[in-house]
Amino acid sequence: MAIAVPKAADARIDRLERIWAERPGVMGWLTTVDHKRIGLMFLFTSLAFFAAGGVEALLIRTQLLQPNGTVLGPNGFNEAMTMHGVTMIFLFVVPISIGAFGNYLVPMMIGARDMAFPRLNAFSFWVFLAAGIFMYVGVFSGNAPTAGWFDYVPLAENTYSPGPGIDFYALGLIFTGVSSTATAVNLIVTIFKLRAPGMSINRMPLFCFAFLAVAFALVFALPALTCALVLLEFDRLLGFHFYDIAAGGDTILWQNLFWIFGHPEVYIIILPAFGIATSIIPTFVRRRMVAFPMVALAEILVAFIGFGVWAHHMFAVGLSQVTNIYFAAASLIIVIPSGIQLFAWITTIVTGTPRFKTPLLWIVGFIVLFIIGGLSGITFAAIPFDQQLTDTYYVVAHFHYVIFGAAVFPILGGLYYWFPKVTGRMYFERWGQASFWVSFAGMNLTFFPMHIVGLLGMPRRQYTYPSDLGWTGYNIIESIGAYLLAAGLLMVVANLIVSSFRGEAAGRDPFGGATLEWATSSPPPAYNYAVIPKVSSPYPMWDAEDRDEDVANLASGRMVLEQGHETPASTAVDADWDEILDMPSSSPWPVVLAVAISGIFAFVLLKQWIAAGVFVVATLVVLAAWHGKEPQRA
Amino acid sequence: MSDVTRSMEATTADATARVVRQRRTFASGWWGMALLIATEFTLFASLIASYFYLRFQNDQWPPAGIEDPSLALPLALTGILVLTTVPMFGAVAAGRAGHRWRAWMLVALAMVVQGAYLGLQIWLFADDMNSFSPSATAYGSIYFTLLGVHHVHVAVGLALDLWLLGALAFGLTNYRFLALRVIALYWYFVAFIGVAVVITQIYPSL
Amino acid sequence: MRLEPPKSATSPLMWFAVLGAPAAWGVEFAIGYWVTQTSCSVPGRDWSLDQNVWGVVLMALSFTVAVAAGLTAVAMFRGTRDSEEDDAPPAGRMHFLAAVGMTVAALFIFVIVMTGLGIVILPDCHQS
Repeated sequence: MAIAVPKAADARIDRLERIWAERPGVMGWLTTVDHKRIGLMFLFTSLAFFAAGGVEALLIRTQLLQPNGTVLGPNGFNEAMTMHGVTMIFLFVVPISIGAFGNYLVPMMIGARDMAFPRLNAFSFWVFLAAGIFMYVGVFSGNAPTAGWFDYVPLAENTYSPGPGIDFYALGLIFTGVSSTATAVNLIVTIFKLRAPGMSINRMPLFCFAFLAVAFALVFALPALTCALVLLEFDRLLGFHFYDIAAGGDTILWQNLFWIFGHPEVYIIILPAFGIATSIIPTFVRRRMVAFPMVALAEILVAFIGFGVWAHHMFAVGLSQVTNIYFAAASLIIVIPSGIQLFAWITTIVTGTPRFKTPLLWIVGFIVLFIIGGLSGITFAAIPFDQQLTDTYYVVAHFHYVIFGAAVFPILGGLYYWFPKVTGRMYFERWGQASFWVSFAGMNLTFFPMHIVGLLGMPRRQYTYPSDLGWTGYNIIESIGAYLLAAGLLMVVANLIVSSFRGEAAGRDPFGGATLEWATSSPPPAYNYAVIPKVSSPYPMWDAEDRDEDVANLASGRMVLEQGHETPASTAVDADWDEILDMPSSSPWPVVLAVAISGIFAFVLLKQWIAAGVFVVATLVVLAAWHGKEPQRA
Repeated sequence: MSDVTRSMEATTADATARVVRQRRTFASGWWGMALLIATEFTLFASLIASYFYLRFQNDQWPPAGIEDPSLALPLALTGILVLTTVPMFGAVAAGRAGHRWRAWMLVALAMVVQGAYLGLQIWLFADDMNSFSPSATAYGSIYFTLLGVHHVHVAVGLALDLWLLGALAFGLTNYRFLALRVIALYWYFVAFIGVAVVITQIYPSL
Repeated sequence: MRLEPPKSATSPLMWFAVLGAPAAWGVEFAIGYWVTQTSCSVPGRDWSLDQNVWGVVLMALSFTVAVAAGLTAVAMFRGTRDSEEDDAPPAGRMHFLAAVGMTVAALFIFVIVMTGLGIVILPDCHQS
């Protein structure tokens, strides 16, 4: 159903187009602050890192195809498995979730024209790119870290890991942490302040609840990691003794600090996927989500309780039973919010009228895989069981089911779902369904046997295994599965690339979606909404009266906000309209600041303290210049 | 609709005062600083937790050969830092009412005292380094790291003050008033953390 | 009991109904965890911290606060009985947050008690 645009409105739209026009060419992309362009840059960069992590995975699986394999030696294997984990978590799944999906969609879903801090948004992308390059400079210079993605001490200290590998890891992660923190702050303030007037907290889409929860989790989890990494680097670079038992330090301090970050991190990984699932389901079953307040609560609760379970990664370390019980209790309770969401999703699908198009297929696959991964996770909350299976392939099976199955499957479904909106073209449906089935089969073939081989005692992170333990057959199946999975993913990529050139025109709203992004043209104009939308429910596109009122407002000039680069700001809980904000337009400072900060990290790694100090001063100067340009003049 | 302010266009002191009176909620910039403070607060919480974690791994704390920390000077200095929140608070009140130069003077006063505080703290830091080293024991490592991270935050605050003095010299817009407000918020946070850090620092002598 | 629910978005009573139970659990967790770690360490032995006493006291206090928050949420829910969850504020917002508060309180009461019982039942300073 096209929205009729009266003639008086054309002049307003022209004015908006002129005000919000981007600079042309490469300079336009380098200086952009538009959340959609930034989202796309995050998308392509994180997909490139997904490919790198995938290559690392295939190297691992090829090495483990046969016992006593010779594809990778022990050091090479350690590099591959460390970089696989680091790349997939820090350079793929978190940036694609919050940087691509979050940045592109959150402002659109709340009826805003940009994020709260557009220049900070751009900065967040350039820092992510710089941090990823920083870490891969380490890899390509033969200095990849080798101590696993959680980098335990004393292995990670100088005595056992001389050379800059761990420094690339530690400094690289502090560096990516800057990007993620910036995005998290931006998401929180955007969701609090920039919601369209009328979108009170009980009318906010569930996608936004998920991203609000993720953002808060990032804000409170990342500093624990920063602390752990700074202490490690002080030990390594300055000879301090935080983790050195002989001098009064403690190796378990690393584990506590790391997991205080690390457990919330895994909820950070999965929550955006929950948000994507709760957006796709109502659209394809044409029914509002069952138990809306429960699902919204569950998304926040998973993030909150996630801060109280960290030592379940340390049940085999020798803490006292009483200490462990805090974490066992919380780990069992955290199942309940996830269970609430599962019941809500399944009930919504079953009581709606499902159309099993490609996006919904990925979500149904996600539900199946999340149930399997969740069940294996619950088994770990039982401490005696955990102590038997820690560091075996059972753990590897569990987390790949929850990370790949429950975080990446919705991301792939989301790529298909919003592809028409972002490109204006439809993907090829049958090819999309095939790509799902191949990936689903490959995923299960790769990771299901790992439960069994883990129960048979195969330890993780071993570069090879002997032939007489009965593990060989399972490993062969897993490696074949990995190649099948890679094929499925290549089908997804190929489908989306070819469709972006040859797909049919998609129109504004090919699926009948419920949230506001489906109101704009495909792709959306730079200003998103000619009229700030009227909102009375979390499913604004299904409220026909409100959409008619938007058309009337456009004609009369109400809520058009065309005097400059403008968007409304509202109160945090009830979204009462409070002021009109002037947003900055393009700016060179974000990319310049990212370069200055890269200089600091590079010279710290090289132990050139004076040069690093020069870049600290440069950073302060650039920050002053940035804040000297006030938004109303930008 | 016409009574909703276009707040960024308040580029004079009077207009700014009017916008501030009408606004019902915290500005975006305030939320941004509040969240930055939340991350830094968590960082300090992790450092202080690490201090006490290490303390309970060690029978003797400080270890043999290291004196108990002194009480008087650290406490006095922290008291001075806390007192500088008063002129900062006053500067915000002056800015809210549109009195640009009064705000400027109060920020300058706070900055001078904060700078003196930092100078003395750095002198004490160097003095401590002469008696015991951060690279000899875990006690030394956490002691100097915790203090050092706090001093870095104070130094950043001084840089913010400097920028603010420059900006306010050119006029009081809504943007600069918000900057004044969030920089004051930053200093309240730094003062609070200063108290937490000094209590941790002198804890073995308590 | 049917109370007239507070209207403001910053009403302390409303936020207590939503945040009281999680906060109570957070306090039981933070203090209790610290007690178990400290009382089993060599320097901490001198402090004579009895884990069972602390465990029971913390559980009782947190339980009370969580129950109070839950009851407040129930009162709020009944006070906005005629509203739908996506109605305009204040009624819609109150109804939504009341539903949230009731669920949250039930969940955290459960984990508060589970944790407390575990502390009392398990032996002190016994390595896992």
